[in-house]
Amino acid sequence: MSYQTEEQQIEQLKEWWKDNGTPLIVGAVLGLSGFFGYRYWTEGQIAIQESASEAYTQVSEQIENKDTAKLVEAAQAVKTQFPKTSYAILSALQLAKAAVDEKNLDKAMTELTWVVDNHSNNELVEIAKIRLARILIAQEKADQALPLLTFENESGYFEFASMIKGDALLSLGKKAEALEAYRAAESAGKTTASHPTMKLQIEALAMGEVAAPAPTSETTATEIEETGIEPAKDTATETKEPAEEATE
Amino acid sequence: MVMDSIREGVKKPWAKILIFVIVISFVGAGYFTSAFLSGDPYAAAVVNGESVRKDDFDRAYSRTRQQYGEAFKQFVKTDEQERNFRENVLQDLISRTVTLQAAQDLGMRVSTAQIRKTIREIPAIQLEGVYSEEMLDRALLNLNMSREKFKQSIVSDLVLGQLISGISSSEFLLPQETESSFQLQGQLRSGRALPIKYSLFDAGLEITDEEIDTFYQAKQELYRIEEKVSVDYLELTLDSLQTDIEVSEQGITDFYEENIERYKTEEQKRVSHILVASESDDAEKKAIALKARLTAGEAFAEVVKESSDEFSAGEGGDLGFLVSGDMEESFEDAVKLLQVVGDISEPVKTSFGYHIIKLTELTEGETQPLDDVKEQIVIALKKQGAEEAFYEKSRVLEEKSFEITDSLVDVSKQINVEIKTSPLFGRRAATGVFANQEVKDAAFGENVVVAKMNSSVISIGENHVLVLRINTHKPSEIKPIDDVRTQVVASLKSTKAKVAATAFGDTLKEKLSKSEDVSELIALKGLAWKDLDKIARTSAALPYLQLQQFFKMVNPADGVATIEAMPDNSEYVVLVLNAIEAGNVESADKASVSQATQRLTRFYSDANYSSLIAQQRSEADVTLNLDNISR
Repeated sequence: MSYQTEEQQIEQLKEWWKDNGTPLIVGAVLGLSGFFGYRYWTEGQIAIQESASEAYTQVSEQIENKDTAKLVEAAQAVKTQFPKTSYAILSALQLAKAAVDEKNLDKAMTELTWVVDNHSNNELVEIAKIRLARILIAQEKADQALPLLTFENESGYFEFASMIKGDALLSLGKKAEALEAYRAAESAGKTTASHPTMKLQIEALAMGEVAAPAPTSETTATEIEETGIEPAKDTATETKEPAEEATE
Repeated sequence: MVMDSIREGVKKPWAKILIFVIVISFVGAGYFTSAFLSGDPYAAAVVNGESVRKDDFDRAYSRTRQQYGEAFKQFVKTDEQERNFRENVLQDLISRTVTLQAAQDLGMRVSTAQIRKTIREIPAIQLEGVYSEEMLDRALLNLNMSREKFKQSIVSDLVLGQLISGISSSEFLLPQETESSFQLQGQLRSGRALPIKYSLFDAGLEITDEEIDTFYQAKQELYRIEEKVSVDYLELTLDSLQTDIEVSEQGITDFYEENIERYKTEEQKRVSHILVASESDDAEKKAIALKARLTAGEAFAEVVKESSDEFSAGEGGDLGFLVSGDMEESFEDAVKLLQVVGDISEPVKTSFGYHIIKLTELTEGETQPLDDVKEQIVIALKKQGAEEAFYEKSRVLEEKSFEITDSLVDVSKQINVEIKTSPLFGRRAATGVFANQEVKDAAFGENVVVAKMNSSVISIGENHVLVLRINTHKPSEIKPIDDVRTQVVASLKSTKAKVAATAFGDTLKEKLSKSEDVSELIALKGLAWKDLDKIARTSAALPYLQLQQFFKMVNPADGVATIEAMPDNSEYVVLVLNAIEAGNVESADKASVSQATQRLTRFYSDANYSSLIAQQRSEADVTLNLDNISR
């Protein structure tokens, strides 16, 4: 190590600054502007979210008051003013429900489609998707409902979506696949266990495959004309549904 | 020198990387801090880096327990049930936390104005219908909750409320969903049933001796009498020892004097306070200035009113009588120093700010006289004596019954407990203390039954032990045929009747399937068809098992009835299904339709919400610290 005078040291400092000054300043400016920029941006977001939340309280109040006209008005306002927030989604869900209550399924579909199209990364979109699928099934467009109901087995929505998938497939007349979907829902967990008739539906569909024998003897129904047995009613529209008592 | 090394250093690639990392960490400062704090060892659980604190758990636990009320004691008895209960409370808390985190991720938040409005509307912190800052202050002191924490819990409730009610109140039920569900649930089936009682075929059945013998040989196990024992035993309980304990007057006096602290009631102090909230920077100075004014002789009530903090102002800052443990330690220490009514403390710091405390009322402590507590002391002394005796005697019992293993007589004398003899009991029909599994295992064990030794000391419950040895042993045996002949005959008859009834039913089924007339056959046996006209799943027209089967039978296609025959408890039954009618919302009774609608509505709104939670839980990183929530 060499001994240096003060002047030499200053000289060296200047030289070092010449070499490295620019990148250091650029680095500091970048870092600080990034930091403040991020803060500025988040503060802006927070302000928007708070305003949206406050606007949404109007919707909440009308939910409690059960005043549909005012509810629709308030929800529409949130959706227009804060379209990018989750509050807009919650408002759209309310608008969809109001439309279903008025039997206007097309309008309900428009609202839910808006959520699915504009908020594909939002956590709430899955709820909108499943609801949209239900409406599509009711409108006999079950084939369009199916793509909305695809979830990974690990997803929290898998069980519920599988059940709706069963409904869609059944409405398309695909009984075997419907049975499979219902069974997937049944074995996935417990959400659908509280559905009043899914178990009956599974049994009815399963009976279509194999007729259940009586506890002891096998029975094959052959023709009966006497003994006053009436011919069965028109059964063309009926699924085969001898099923077990709901286990409640 | 320094510069040298810096200049050299910066040229090296690792130094450039280091500078880059520093710059980046500035940008990401906010993000990283939360992630680094995840390993909180005192938390009940850590959810995505956020602690579920032990005191939050405790609050949730006691709230849930209160909700259960009396039922809690019925459902939660064992340690394991208590553990499960605690874990359930924790799981609920975790679900709440992930949902709240989801709401935050969704950008759901509430403004300061919303928070203020909500707080002002809480009835518990209103005075005669108007929001009172002082009530809030007191409520927070009682809850041992800081204002910030209280505010946070309000924010959480509001945001969760928005999310949950937003999802559930927007749920709908489509008419077609109700219809298709009701088609199954409200299904109606028509047909008829022919019950054939087994007893109808009893009459005139002949049973030969040979049949009886074959049946008896084959089914011997049915007539087995189980192994039984009677035991001699020595039983020690705390209660039985208690009666023998003598308590002397001297003993009572001594106990009273030694434990005099127990019979004193504490003095009680009522205080008022001036609070200078710590939010202002000069809080300490302000508190000292206020104290100076009090020392100078200004009235406490006046200073309270003037003090800038409005929470303390109402009712002269009165906090009521203090209960030990209510306040933070520094506050309580300061109160201890106040001995005479009117004493005023120096400013004390707590997490709320600086307090100046005045003692406004003092109730002296009292000592209960000996006569008042005598009974209590006698009970305590007897219990104490009995415990000592129990300990000593069970020690002797253990030692001696092991030492002299072929008799209980000596040890009975030594511990002065009489040998008792049990009645004969079997494994299944044991009662009282002999129903205890360990006692049964010992009484029927090889050591006792075969080797005829004393059993080891069995602990039956707290302060209750027992040693036993065999008195009488009756091995398992089969009852002789003459004792069971009537039973055998009855069994044989009922089996034969059942076979005959089944054969008859099957013939009927066969003939019906071939469309033959069976009315004569039926009339001959005096049987009658039961008409089933549009019966529902809940109908009482058929016994349970038959109704189940009736609703499992396949749809009669092309006008061909479905026919089945099945055994039930006391009869064989032929079931004929003619028609299935799907449930119809239009024509069904209103009550059952509205019940079905309600159940479906509830299902859909639950399903959405629980799917959302399940999804959040499946993505969450959760660490449970179950040790931190055990008792």
